[in-house]
Amino acid sequence: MLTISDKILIASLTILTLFSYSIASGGRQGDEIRIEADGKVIGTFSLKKDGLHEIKGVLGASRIEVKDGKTSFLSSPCKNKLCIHQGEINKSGQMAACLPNRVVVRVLGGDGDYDALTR
Amino acid sequence: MAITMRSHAEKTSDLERVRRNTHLALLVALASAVHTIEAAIPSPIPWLKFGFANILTITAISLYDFWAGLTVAFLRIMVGSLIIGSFLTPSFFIGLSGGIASAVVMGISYRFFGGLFSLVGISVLGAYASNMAQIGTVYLIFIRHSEVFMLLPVFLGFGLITGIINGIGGEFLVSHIRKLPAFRSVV
Repeated sequence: MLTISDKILIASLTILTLFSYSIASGGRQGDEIRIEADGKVIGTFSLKKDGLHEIKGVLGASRIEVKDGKTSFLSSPCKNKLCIHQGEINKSGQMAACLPNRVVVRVLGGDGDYDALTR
Repeated sequence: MAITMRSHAEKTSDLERVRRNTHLALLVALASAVHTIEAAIPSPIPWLKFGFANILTITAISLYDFWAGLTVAFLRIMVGSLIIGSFLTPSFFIGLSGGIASAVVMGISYRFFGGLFSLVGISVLGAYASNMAQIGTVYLIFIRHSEVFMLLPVFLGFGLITGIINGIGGEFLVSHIRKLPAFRSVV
């Protein structure tokens, strides 16, 4: 039932499918980050400018660093330091948060921050 | 149960036409039923279905021609969505784009590469075309977020599997149908 061409086609499409995994999880480098504390937007900062942001949350001050187009939590007054362990984020849509301190850092991308728009 | 259908047509060409229309009507009815029942199957991604109705599209393409396949595909989406109640909803447009793209691709590949590929290969190409068209429609019309393409590997992998399954089903169906008396004149 299956011809040789069929098998070649299926084999190459399987490779294409596996290949598309790397394309899909690539993501896009974000341009800006938006930092919120306790549900309120503190500010929007560029990922292109290196800097250190001290954000006051409910527990204390979290230090968020922007370096080389990536951002990460440097220090935080929480107990588990899960936010710091998350490491660096830089793709649009990615998010790092310190939940006990209620500080959230979100990477904004070229498509804007909306999932869907109706006009 | 054997069904004998008599036609009042006298000329051979008229008879051919009547036979073709009757067969296509049967295929559309079957495809609509399959389409409707398949909509009841739950899926994590709403519009991603097996597309078993494509088996009947490819049957039409194999037994007749490109336009037959396109007719069956278009009509079954229309009828099916009217029955389900999803006519003119977003999922209707997504499914329509996928179904038409799939029928066109399968029709063209069968016409030019019918000798190289069995129906399995044609069906796989159709499944891929359908998925690409569906993602494209979702991106262009509904969610203009390039993150939609993160679903791409799931779609492609799933499309490959359903394409193979539908192709095997199509092969079985066509080889069986060709043995039936009603279809004896159809090569």
